[in-house]
Amino acid sequence: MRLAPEAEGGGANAPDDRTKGQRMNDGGGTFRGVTKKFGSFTAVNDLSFEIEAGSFVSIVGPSGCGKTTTLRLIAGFEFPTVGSVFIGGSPVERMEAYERPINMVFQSYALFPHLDVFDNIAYGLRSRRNRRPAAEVKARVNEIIGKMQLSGKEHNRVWELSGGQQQRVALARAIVNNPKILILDEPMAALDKKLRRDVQFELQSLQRELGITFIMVTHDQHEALSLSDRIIVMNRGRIEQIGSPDELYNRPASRFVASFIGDFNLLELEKPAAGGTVDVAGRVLAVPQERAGEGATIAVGFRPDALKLSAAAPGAGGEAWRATITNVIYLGDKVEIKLDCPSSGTLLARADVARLAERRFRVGDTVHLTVEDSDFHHFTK
Amino acid sequence: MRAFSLFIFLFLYLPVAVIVVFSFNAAPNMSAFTGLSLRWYAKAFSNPLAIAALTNSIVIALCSAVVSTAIGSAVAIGLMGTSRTTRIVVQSLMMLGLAVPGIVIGLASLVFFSAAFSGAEQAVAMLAGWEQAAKLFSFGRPTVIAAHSLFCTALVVEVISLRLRQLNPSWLEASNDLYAGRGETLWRVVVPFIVPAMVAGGLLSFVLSFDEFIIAFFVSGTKPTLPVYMFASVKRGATPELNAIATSMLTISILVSVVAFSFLRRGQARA
Amino acid sequence: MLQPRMARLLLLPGYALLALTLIGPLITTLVISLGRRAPSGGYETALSIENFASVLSRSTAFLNTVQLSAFGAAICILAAIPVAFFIAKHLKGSVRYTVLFLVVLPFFTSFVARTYAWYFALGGRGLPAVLEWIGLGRFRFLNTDFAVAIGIIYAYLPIAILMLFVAFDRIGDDLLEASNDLGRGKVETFFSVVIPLAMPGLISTYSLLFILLSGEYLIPMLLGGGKVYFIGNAIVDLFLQSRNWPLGSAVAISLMSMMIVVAFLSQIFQRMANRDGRIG
Ligand SMILES: Nc1ncnc2c1ncn2[C@@H]1O[C@H](COP(=O)(O)OP(=O)(O)O)[C@@H](O)[C@H]1O
Ligand SMILES: [Mg+2]
Repeated sequence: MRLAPEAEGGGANAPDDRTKGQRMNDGGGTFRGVTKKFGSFTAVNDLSFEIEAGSFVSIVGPSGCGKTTTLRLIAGFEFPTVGSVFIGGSPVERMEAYERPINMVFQSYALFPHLDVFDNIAYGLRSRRNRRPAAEVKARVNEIIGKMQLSGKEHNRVWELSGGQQQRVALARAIVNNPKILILDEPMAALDKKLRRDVQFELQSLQRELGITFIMVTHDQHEALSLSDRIIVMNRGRIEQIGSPDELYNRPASRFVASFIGDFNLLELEKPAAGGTVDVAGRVLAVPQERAGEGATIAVGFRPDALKLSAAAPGAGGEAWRATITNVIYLGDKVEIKLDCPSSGTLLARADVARLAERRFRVGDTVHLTVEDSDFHHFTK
Repeated sequence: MRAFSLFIFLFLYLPVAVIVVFSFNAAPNMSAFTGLSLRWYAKAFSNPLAIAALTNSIVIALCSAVVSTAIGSAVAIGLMGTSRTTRIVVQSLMMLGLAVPGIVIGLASLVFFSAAFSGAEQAVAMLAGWEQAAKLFSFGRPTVIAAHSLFCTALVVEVISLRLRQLNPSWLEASNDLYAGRGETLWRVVVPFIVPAMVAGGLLSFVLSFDEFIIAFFVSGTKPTLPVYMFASVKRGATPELNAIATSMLTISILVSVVAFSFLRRGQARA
Repeated sequence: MLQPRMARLLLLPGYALLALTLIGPLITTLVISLGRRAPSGGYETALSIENFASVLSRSTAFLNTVQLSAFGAAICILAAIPVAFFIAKHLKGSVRYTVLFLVVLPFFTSFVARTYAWYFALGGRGLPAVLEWIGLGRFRFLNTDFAVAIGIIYAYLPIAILMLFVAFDRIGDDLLEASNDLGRGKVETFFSVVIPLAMPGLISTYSLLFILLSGEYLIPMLLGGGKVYFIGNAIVDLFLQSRNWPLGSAVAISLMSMMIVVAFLSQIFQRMANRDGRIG
C-alpha cells in the first residue's frame, strides 16, 4: 500500500485533531478516478475525493445521480470499472464486501427476519471469517443493546419492532463490529418526520462518541447540512462540490449547488460576461476576485434572505427592480414572499416576521427590491 | 453454479433433441444418422390408428379447453362476490383437483362413471322397458373431457384469480361513479381485464389435456388418445415412427405453451 | 362489488363440475373399497374393511414407492437448488425470465413423449451403444432402478426449479448483501441466510414432489419395464388386469391417505420453519 502525497497533505493540513495522522491510516477513504458503468450507462463518472478519518461525511444529490452506487463501491457490492478505492490507505477495489473493514446500515435495514434482535446484532461476530469467542460476543452485543436502548428486546422478532427500533438494530448490528467506516444509505428514509429529528441528534452524538468515519447518503439537504462535517454534492455521476456545510451554503461553486443546497434566486445571463463586470437587469456588478480566473460569468444569484423589500423609491437598477407579490406564506417566525419581477422572473424573499411586523405585505402589492452587491454570487458553471 | 445450470439445461433438452433429430433420419434402422427425410412422418400419419388417436386428442383438448375456460372464468369472477368460507372451500377443492395424482383421479372417474352408467342404464331399462339400454353409455371422448375438465378448470381459476388480484378496486368504483351498474361494470371493466388470462388459461388447458396420459388411460375406453396410443406402442419398442409422433406432440405443446405464456406476460405488462 | 345472487349463479357450473369429476368419483371409490370383488370381476356390494387388510399384502409396492419417491424427490431438490438459485439471484432482467421459461417449458410438453425420449436414449441403440462404441463395456440401463430415477428427476426437475425459484426470489438481495457486509462469504451466507429463509419453500417443494412421485405409473412402467413396482402399477394391474376393483380402490384410498398425511406433515413443518413471520 502506498499513500498518495495529496492524501498525506490533506491529513497533515487538517486542523483540530491530534490523532489525525493515525486516524487517516485507520478510517480514511479515498476515491481516485473512479468510474462505474452499467453496460453503456455511466452511473459514476471519474470520482476523486478524500474522506478524513473520524469525520461525518454526507453525499447528497438528486435521485439517480449515483449516490447509492458510490456507497456500494465503498462497501464492496460494486467494483469500479476504472479507478481505485482506498480504505485507511490500502487499496480495496479488488476486495469483496466481506473482506472490507466497513459496515453498512441499509436503506431497508435488511434485518434478518429469521433471527431475533440479539442474533441479528451478533451476526458479524459469529461469521467464520471474524469469529469471536461466545463470551465476548455476548458481552459486546449486550453492551451495544444497552447503548442503543434496546434492552428487553433481545429476543424479539425484528419484524415486531417499530421503525425506529429496527433502525437502531441495524445501527447496532453494524457498529458492534468496530468498522473503520460506517456507511448509511438514507437511514432516515423510513422514519416519520418527528422521529427523524431525534434520530439525527442521536446519530450525531453516536458518531462523536465512537469516532468512526460515517459516510451517509441522503436526499434531504437539511439533514446533510445539520449533521455533516463535509458534504459531497453529486450530480449526474460527477462531483459538483465538496465542502463544509458553511462553504456550500455561502460559497456554492456552481449554479447546481446553489439551487440544490437551500433556496436560491438564480438569474441566468443572456450572454456570458467575459469582462470584469456583469450587467444584471440594469445593475452593474464587479466580478469578485476569486472568480476572476475561471472564465466568463454565466449566471448570478442570491439567497432569499438577501432580498429586501420596500415600498420606498427604487435603489440602484431603477424600474427593473420592481416586482409584484404573488404569494405570501407564513412559516411561524419567518415569512416567505414570492414575487413576479418583469426583468428577472419569479423570485423568493424570506424575512423574519418580527422585522416585517410594522409593514404588512399583501398579494398584488408592488414593491421595490434591494440586494447588496456583496450578496450576489457569480457562477461560471 | 453456472456450469451446473448449463449441465441441467443440457439434461433437460438433450434427450428431446435426440428424438427430434432421429425423427428426421432417413435410415431404416436407428443405429446411425444417414440423412434428412420426412418418411417417418409420412408413415406415422398414414397409420389410421395414429390418425384416429390424434383426432381424438385434438377434439378432447379443444372441448376441455372451452369447457374449463367457461366454467373457470365464471368461478373466478363468482369467487370475488362470495363469503370467505365459500371461497376457501371452492379454492381448496379446485386445488385438490390439481394436486390429487392423475392415477387416483383416473381410477376414481372409472368407477364413478361405470356406476353412474350402469345405474342410468338400469333406470332407462326399467322405465322404458328397453332391452338395449345396456349399451346406451360407454367410455370415450365425453368421459375423458369431463375428467380433464377438472384439472383444467382448476388451472384456469388459478390463472384468472391471479389476474383479478391485480384489479384495482377503485376502477370498479370509478365505473359505478360514471353511471355503469354492477352488471355493466362486470362486462365493461372486469371481463376485458381478464381476457388475456382467459386466453392463456384456455391455451394451457388445451396443452395439459392434449398431453395428459394416465386419466385418459383409465377412462378413454376403446378410443385411445395420442398419449395412450403412444404408450401402447412404446411397450412394443422404440421405432422411427414413434420419434416422429413424439416430435409432433412436443412441437404442438411447445407452440401452444409459448403463445399461452406470451398472453400471460401481456396481461402482466398491462397491469 | 358482485351481488351475492350473481356470484352464486356464476359458481353453479363450478359446483356441478366438482361434484361430477371430483367429489362423486372419490366417494364412489371409498364406497367400492369397502365392497367385494364380483366373481366375474368388478364390484359387489358389501361392507367390510377386508380390502384394507389385504392392502398390507401389497406392502412391497408401498415400501418401494415410498423409498423411490423419497429418494427421487431429494435428488430433484438437490439438482434444482443450484439452478433455481442461479436464476433467481445471478440472472437479471429479461434473461432471467427467458431462462426460467425455458427450464419450465418441458413441464408443459407431453409426459409420454419426454419419457419416451429417455426410453430411446437409455435403450439398446442409445447410451449403451455409445458406451460400448467408446469401449467402456456393455451396459444395460432400461428396466433398472437407475433408469426410473433418471426418468423421475427428468420429469419433475422443472417444477422443482420453478418452486424453488419462487422461494429464493422472495429473499431480498439486501439480506444477502447485509450478510456479505457482516463478513460472511457466499457459501456461509447461503447456509446461514438463504437456506433458513427458503426452508418453508424447500419443505413444500419436497412434499409436492413426494406426492407426485408416489402416484407415478408411466415412468416405472416404461423405464422400469414393470420390474420396478410402484403403487401406481399395482392399481393399474388390479383394475385393468385382475379386475379386482374393491382391492384396487382400497389401494388407491390408502395411497391418498398417505399423501394427505404427507401434505399435513408438510404444513406443520412449514409452519415450524416459517421463522420469518411470513406465510408460505
Ligand atoms: N445494477 C445496476 N444496473 C444498471 N443500472 C444501475 C444499477 N444500479 C444503479 N443503476 C443506475 O445508476 C444510476 C444511479 O443510481 P443510484 O446510485 O442508485 O442513484 P441514487 O442513489 O443517487 O438515487 C441510476 O440511473 C440507476 O438506474
Ligand atoms: Mg439511492
